[in-house]
Amino acid sequence: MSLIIKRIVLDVLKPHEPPIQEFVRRLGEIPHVKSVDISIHEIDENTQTIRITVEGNEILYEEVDKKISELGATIRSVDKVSAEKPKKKK
Amino acid sequence: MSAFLENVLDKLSTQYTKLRQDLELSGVIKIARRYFVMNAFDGALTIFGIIMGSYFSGLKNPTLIIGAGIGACLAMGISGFFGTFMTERAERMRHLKKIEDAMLTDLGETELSERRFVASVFAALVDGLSPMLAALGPLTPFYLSFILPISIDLIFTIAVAINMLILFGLGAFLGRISRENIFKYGLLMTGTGLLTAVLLLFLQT
Repeated sequence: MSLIIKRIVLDVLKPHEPPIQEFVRRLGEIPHVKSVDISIHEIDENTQTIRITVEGNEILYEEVDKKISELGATIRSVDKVSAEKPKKKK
Repeated sequence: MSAFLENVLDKLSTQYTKLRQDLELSGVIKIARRYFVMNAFDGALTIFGIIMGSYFSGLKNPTLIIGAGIGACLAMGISGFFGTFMTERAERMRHLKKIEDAMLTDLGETELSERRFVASVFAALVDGLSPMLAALGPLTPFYLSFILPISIDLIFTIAVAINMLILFGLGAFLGRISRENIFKYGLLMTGTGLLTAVLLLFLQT
């Protein structure tokens, strides 16, 4: 049985717009995502470096990447991924 | 049928929320507010000039005033729309390119780019429609002369009164924005109309 992704930590470069409160709300629209955490690590004249932690059940990395790209940001690195075997239904 | 209506209303509401978010995020609302007052003021004073100029020249012909007024309205609307759209688009593209350079990526297919287009169209619509609407108000009494037996002097008086009201309203709007005395702002704007009238009177005599 293959593992399913429960948590991804990403290093992302984004423009100032949209602000992180909007960014977090939009990432919450991704299917199976249960929680999103964003912290700003660096602020430049035109960009911000942020760390995103996405948690949920069976997170699809492609969906996360697509949403981040739609918002005008780019993933610089995938810093951490947590996965586990799906729980058996009783 | 009601389910269909609910669906349509739901979609419209979602689109409206998205549009509002786009406009807020792009920061265009503040710019559009400025454009609105500046251009409505332009429209109101232009039409005031046409009306008073015709009156002082003795050209008391409603058809002539309507013709000249509508022409000016259209010209102001078209110039406002296209001028603002091109300017806003150029400014926003420049900003987008700066971000692209900083991020080393193409942002053409993103919401950021889409938001810039929506903001440019919104600013252009405000810029194009505000002088047209402000100018159409004082022209309406002249239409009445075709259906009601009113003297042309009375029509001129009503048109000037509407014009002054529009100028006062614009001033009051600015007063509200700045959280200062709305009457002071209203009277200042009305004063510019009176100044135009006095200057026109001097030029005609």
